[in-house]
Amino acid sequence: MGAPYVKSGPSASAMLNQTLAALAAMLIVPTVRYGARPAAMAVMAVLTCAACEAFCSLMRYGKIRIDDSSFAVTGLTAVMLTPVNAPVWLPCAACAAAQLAAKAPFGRYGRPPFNIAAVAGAFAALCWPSESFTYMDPAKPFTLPPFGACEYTAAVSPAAVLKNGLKPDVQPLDMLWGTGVGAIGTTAALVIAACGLFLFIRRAASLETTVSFLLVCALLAAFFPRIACSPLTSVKYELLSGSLLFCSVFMVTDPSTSPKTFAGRCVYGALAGGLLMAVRYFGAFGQGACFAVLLADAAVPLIDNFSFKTVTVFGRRSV
Amino acid sequence: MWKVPHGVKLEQMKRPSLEKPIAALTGNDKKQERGIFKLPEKKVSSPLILSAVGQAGITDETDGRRLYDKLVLLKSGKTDTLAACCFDDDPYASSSEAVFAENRKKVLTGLGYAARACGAKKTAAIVGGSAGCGADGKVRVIRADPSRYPALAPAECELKRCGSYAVIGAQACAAVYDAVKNRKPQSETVVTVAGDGAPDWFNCRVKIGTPISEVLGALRGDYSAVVTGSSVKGKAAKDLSEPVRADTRLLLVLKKAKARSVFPCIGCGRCTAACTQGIVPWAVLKEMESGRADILRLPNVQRCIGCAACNVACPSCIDLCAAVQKAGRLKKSGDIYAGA
Repeated sequence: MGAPYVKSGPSASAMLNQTLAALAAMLIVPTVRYGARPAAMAVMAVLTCAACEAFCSLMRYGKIRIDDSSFAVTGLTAVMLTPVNAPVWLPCAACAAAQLAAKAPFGRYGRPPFNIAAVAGAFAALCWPSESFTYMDPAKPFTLPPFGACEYTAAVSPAAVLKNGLKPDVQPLDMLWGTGVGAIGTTAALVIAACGLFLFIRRAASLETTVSFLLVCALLAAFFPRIACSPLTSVKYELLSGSLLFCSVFMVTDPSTSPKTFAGRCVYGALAGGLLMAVRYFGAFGQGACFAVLLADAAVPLIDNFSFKTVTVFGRRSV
Repeated sequence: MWKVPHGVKLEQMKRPSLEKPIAALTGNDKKQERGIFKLPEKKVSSPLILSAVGQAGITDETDGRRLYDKLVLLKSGKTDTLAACCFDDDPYASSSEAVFAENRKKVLTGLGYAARACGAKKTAAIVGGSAGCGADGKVRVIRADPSRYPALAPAECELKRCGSYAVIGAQACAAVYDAVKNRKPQSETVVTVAGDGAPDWFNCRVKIGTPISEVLGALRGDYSAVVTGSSVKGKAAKDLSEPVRADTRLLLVLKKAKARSVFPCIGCGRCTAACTQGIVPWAVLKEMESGRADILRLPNVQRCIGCAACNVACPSCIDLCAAVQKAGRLKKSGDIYAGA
């Protein structure tokens, strides 16, 4: 082991572990509310990602080598974007496709240019749209066995209602505590905010990306509301519906796929926010977080290039 | 204008070693050291001081160079300010601070002699934080912020504003004083013993050339590695019979040498925030790894001071400092096709 023998801030492994801990904390509320099914889906997705990681390392290095917990982060994030009533194979298939197509060709954590969980979400949305966007009504009776078929009453998510130009019939408190209609980890706004605070304090996620992302989403919602209401009401419903908040904390803040400068991350966050709202307004699906993140990731090299040139042209030297 | 602080925040671990006086581990060696030639009692001239420094064999602990060579070079270059570094940049080392605190007058007088030797008109002392200096009005006091590493870079920038400058260590200044006043050659150095493998952290004065094992001999802790020099840039001693040198300054005793996995660059940008010289280490690394480095895309690499703050900040444990210094050498060579 060589120098340095002191470090400031968490290592890449520690950052991943902190994100994993936050995602695991996100699983508590749905597990308490819906039983073992969310936990079972999470375990299966993580095991699928681990198996894919092991397979890819076997192909590449000739031995099984798993150095970090990025596969577990991918698995849990993909599960958070899945409805609790979806088949267990859905997030597993999405994760396998994302790991093999979007991560394996590039290598270890830090190399893939696209957010792997976003690839998984987009893959599931494109291949199995009905399974990905059919949600259950938690207010009606339901049976959710850990692995079997579910019995539930289907409901329309607030994001889908907004897509139709109507005001969602949901209490703000339901949207805050996660008792509303939506994916496993995207409905409890307060829990997401708490996890986000934890990640920002631990420096595992960058605050500027989230702030610029939310700011652009809020401005677009305020100035171009989809429903006939006050700007503030429009902002409230847009920010609390769908996977926007979850995306702002867990997906756009991925340090390996976001730009490397402060200014670059602000631009990236704003771009992702604008793209998300564009997908919501004009896209085929009511939710477009994954697509927005992927499109923004594609622009990262350009953003980095531009911000790098700005730094070198204007100079930056503190001493 | 809003100034963005650079460098990395490192928790300072000097207090335990600074709380005790410098211990002496010179033993009961009664062998008389051969003194250098006697200098006249009246005001000593520059050539005589230089000669005394040369005879005393003083090494500047800040860079390991012979002080005589340094002073001769400075004299030829017409230096305006000579500063004594009475502060340790390293979060664990406190040897310079301990020497300065032990006898401030000795260090400042030695600085005065060294300044006279190299022709510097002004002198300065770089001290850490709110530490007292006790200097008279002739010595300028520059305060370094110990909370950020490297702390010396901003202090040196302040010196630069007043013209050409040079920095020598506090132990070297004290050795100059001993050489001029007491005819003593430099035979001892002060090192800090610290680390989680050392139950007691202290500064000790040892003879140069003492094996590390002898210095640590009294330690009852259980340790697996000893790092010499600096916790940021130091090297692990392969063999504890390695001698303590004048520029050792720190023996970091570690219970367990942590193995760290090296990841690819995850693009967090912390190295850019850590660098005080305006270098963008992640971009330099990317350019050097591309196999066709374009020196026009390596801005400011020639300014690298080798502090390794980028290494400290990097969560992926990449040796960014080595990449930047390699890029600096490439740029200095002027061979624009070297990367092709």
